[in-house]
Amino acid sequence: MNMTQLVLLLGFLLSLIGFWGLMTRRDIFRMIISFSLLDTGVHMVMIGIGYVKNGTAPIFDEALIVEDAVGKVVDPVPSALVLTAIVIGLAVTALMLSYAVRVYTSRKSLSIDAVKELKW
Amino acid sequence: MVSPIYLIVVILGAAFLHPLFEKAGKTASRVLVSAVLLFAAALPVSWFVYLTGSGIDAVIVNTAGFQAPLSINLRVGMEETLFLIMINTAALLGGLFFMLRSNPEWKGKVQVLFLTMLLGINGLILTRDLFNVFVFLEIASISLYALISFAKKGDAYEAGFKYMIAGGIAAALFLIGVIYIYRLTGTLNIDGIIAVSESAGGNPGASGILGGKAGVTAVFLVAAAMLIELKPFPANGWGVDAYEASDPGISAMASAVSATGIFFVFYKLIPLFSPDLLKLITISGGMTFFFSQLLAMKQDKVRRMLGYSSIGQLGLLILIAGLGNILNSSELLAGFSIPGIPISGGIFLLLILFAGSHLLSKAGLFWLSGIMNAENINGSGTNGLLRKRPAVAGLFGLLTAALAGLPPFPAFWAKWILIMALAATGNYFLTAVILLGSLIEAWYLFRWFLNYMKTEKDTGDIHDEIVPEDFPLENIEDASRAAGIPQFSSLRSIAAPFISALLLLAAGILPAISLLTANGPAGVDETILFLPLAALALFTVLDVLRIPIKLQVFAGIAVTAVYGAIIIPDLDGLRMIFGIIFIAGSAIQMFPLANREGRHPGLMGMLMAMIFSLGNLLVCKSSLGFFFSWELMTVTSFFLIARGEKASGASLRYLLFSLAGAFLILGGLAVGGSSIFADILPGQADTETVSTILLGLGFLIKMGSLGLHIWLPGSYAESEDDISTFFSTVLSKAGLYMLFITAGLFAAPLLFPGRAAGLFPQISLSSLLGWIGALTAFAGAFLALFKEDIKYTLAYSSMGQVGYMLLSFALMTQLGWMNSLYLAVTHLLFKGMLFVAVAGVIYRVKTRMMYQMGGLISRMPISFFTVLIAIIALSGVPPLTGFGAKWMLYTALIEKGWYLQAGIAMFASAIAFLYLFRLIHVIFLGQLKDEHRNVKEAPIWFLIPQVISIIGIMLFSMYPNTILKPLQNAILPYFPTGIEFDGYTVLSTLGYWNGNAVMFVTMGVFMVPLIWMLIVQRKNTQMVGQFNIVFAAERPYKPETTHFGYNFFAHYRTALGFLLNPGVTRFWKWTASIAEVTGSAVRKLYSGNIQTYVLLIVLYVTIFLLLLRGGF
Repeated sequence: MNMTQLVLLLGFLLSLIGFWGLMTRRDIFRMIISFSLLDTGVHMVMIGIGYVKNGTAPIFDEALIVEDAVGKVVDPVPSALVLTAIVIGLAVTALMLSYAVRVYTSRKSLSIDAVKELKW
Repeated sequence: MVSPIYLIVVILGAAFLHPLFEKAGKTASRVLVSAVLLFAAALPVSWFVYLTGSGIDAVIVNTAGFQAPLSINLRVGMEETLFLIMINTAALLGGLFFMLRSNPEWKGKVQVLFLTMLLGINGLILTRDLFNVFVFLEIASISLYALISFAKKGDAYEAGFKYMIAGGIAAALFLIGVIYIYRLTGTLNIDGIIAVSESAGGNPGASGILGGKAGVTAVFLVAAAMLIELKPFPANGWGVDAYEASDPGISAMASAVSATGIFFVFYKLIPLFSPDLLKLITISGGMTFFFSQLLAMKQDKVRRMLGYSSIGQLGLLILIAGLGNILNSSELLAGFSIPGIPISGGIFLLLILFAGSHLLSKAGLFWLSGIMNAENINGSGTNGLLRKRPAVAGLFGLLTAALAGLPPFPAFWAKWILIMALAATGNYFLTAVILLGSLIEAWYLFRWFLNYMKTEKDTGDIHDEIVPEDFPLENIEDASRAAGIPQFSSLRSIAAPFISALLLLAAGILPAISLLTANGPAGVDETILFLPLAALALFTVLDVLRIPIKLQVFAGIAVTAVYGAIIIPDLDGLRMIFGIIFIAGSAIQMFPLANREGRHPGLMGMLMAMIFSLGNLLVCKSSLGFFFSWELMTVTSFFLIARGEKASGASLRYLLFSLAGAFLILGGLAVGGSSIFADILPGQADTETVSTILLGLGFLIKMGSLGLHIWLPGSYAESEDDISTFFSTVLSKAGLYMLFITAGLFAAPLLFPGRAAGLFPQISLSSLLGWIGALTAFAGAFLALFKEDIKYTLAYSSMGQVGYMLLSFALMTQLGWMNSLYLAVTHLLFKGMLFVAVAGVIYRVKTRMMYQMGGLISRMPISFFTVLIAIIALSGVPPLTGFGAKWMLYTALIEKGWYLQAGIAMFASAIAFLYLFRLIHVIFLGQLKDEHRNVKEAPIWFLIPQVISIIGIMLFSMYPNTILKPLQNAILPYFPTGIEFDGYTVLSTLGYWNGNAVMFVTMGVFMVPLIWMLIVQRKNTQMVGQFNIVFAAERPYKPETTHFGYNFFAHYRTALGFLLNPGVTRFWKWTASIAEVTGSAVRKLYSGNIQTYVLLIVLYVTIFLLLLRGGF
């Protein structure tokens, strides 16, 4: 198993842990942490897919000439996507945390059991 | 053309600059936001003008100075433009709603978030880059998450949190899908991906780059993420929570702007989806549509109900999108176009009609729910108050009708095409699911409407007479009931839903132009079918101008007369007979309305629209024209019934059954093709049995035949007294008319395709109809017998009479048909007389309970005479018209050999005689009540139609030929051999009937004893005093239920009471309870716990994927 596959595997594993946490933890903060794990796992998967073994950064200089760039460089697009996704994930997490605070102030509890008034 | 970049730049720029403007003042920031929203709505309109003007398909705009794969590109095609126009208009109206609401929250970050949400949705629609979709999706979602908290209450925080978790999972799935697609295809450009997957395998996803296991999974993940964003059943609990808990203005935007925009992305990605995936998507959409309606039905919170409805409508859109290629093969859809839109054919037009109709009507209803402070659907505290705000009530009705897909709104036309296309391509199951779901939707929407419209006296479940107690409990004032005008929150903001309704009306006319004019699929010009709408508009204007009701009624009579004079002469025989019944009958019965005082907003408009749509049934040429008029008649008559003081329950039942009937007819037309209106003669049927049965059921519902009648008594009785007569005498014959027009279908032997073919080789549907008619006649008369409430008596009596018409029609012989038509005409006269006379009596004595009346002969002699003539004509005793009807009926039945049916009919006639006897006896004879000593004769307006009808009855009784000859001529094309006439004598194989002779003999029989009594026996004859208890047979004091007229036929009730067992009502209640129980069971899935919802999402995705890949 090479590094790429390991990253992919760990990414999926992390995502699954995130899913598991989302479904089983009763504490809202733990759920948010689980969500972050899920997000991070997805980011790792994205990185893992874009990586080329022994690849180099996609910057043209003496070490990398245009002609053989395709085989040598790591695809920059997934990296760019991951950066964007991380930023968005950060915003979502921040908003979730602020919701957690609001939920706590209105329901006086951080248990997810306090957050099921709306149903049926 | 202005570049789409500017759309994004301007909205984003305004969002960034907003704090600066806010510093300058609240007004400055409001002006900024309004200007930007206006710009966002106007820009796509300019693109629309540009694209239609230049004929260019689409403009592609690259960003950052690179070509597409290296940069993100935006596409402005007709599809994007139209969706942007709709969505940005909704956003503009949403901004207007907030601004006019003078809401202190409409400032600062809320405005910024509103703009960023709009930005995200606009970007979603324009972009052609898959990852960019993700970015814009998150921008829109995060803004929406934050906007949900704007309601500042615990529920909103809860809903927002749940929404975020679900949205986060969808985003994660989307990212994984996108990155795998990128790995497989090497591009993020949607067009690029489509090109790559097609060039490699032809069929996307089948065998190309995306056809392998990884590819299928990757595309699936993207599709699943989009589906979860669109809230599929059952993984959608968080969605309804958000709709329920948010501010109504935000819920409106979530439904209209956000959901519609995300649906467009889904639509945009469809070329990537393989046929297998599309099939599953269709199933998911269909399930979402159906179950959301079931769940909405069980809700008691208004916005939660609307939320389920939104999700259901999105499910319908997904279903259509998934069926795309199949539906596109339908001829009707391929030929369909909307004037002004340069796209012809294809599901996109359906989608834009459904999406646009839903977007405007749903947003409008959300706004209205905010304005009316509507939290619970039972409307406690608002009872009757909405009636004092007719404009708001009218708007409420319009938006509800638009959402329910009733004519003339866009969804109506789209539904027609969708159902026709589905049936044409053999998707009968989906057809049934969609129609059933639509029926449930109409039910719960109008239940909400009626709950808010009903008066305080109305308990909402009145379907039968309520006999008051002798010594009623003291009325305890309900202190909680709001008094005065409804408590609206800032009525100004009603501008937003009002504009929505206007746009919906305009949008509804557009497709009609292409469907009902000479350019339409049927190729016939049916512009006249819009007359009801024109009349409705005209009389609404009169209402607004406060023209007195009397003038309106006279205008109505005049317009109806002109309409009749124009269309009736051009009709063929059969249609002319019904034309006279529908139009002349209605015009005469409008006179009593002139007795009204004060304002009656909507009354004349709805009545005129109903009469015209009824008349239009005679002149329509295409199936669509017929169905349009039929549904319009249903809708307008529903609104008329709903005006009744205690009619909310009855009108809802009426709507439910009428719409069910209309949908059965739609199904029948869809299955049978559109050849139904090519004047089918008996024996020339070319339609499948299934289609015939569906059509027949639809018509029978309208006639209130036994088993399908439970809507009838309440609707006839609880509608206003001067309105009931229209339903009984005119409207009930619409079903009969349609049976005559399509008679050929029912005369043909029942031939089922396939294995069942040999089951009923010799039986035709018409013999079945005959039995139904006979039993209806019996049941109607029998049920009328035991009613204390006179209007229920008359209602059941009408049901029975229509049963006779059905029985005669079903004979399919010349005499039978003549009798059916004869009954239809005379029933109009005598039942109109009865209803109008009784309306006059009720108007004077203020009660509907017969035993509370009595002795009115001295106070209301003309009404008495009318009722006397009417009951003689109805009961079939000589010498009036009823005798002829019975003579022809029994002759025809015996000639045909239907002895058993003849027996039932005769028994029914005897019962009819009993309730008629009671009617005249209890109301007019006996002792006058104290409180009625000073009542006057009914107003002149009630007497005019009575006198006209009496003249008609007398004429037809003396000279039967004056009516029989025209009737015979009317059916000459079907039965060419004439009936023999000898002078005024009609001959049959069994005997003859001479109207004159019968009249003279009867008069003689009556006169001789009278003269004998008055002259020869004058010494033994004495006048009986009013209080002679031996003759009056009643005790003149309370309790009133000791009155002889109370429980008049108690002895018959003892003997035959078991027949009154309301088995039919129980059956339908049981049917409804199945839906209720299913809804209750399903909604237990929505535990309110977000972790359950996450589990449902995981299960949904997993099962979907397993189905798609056919295993692990």
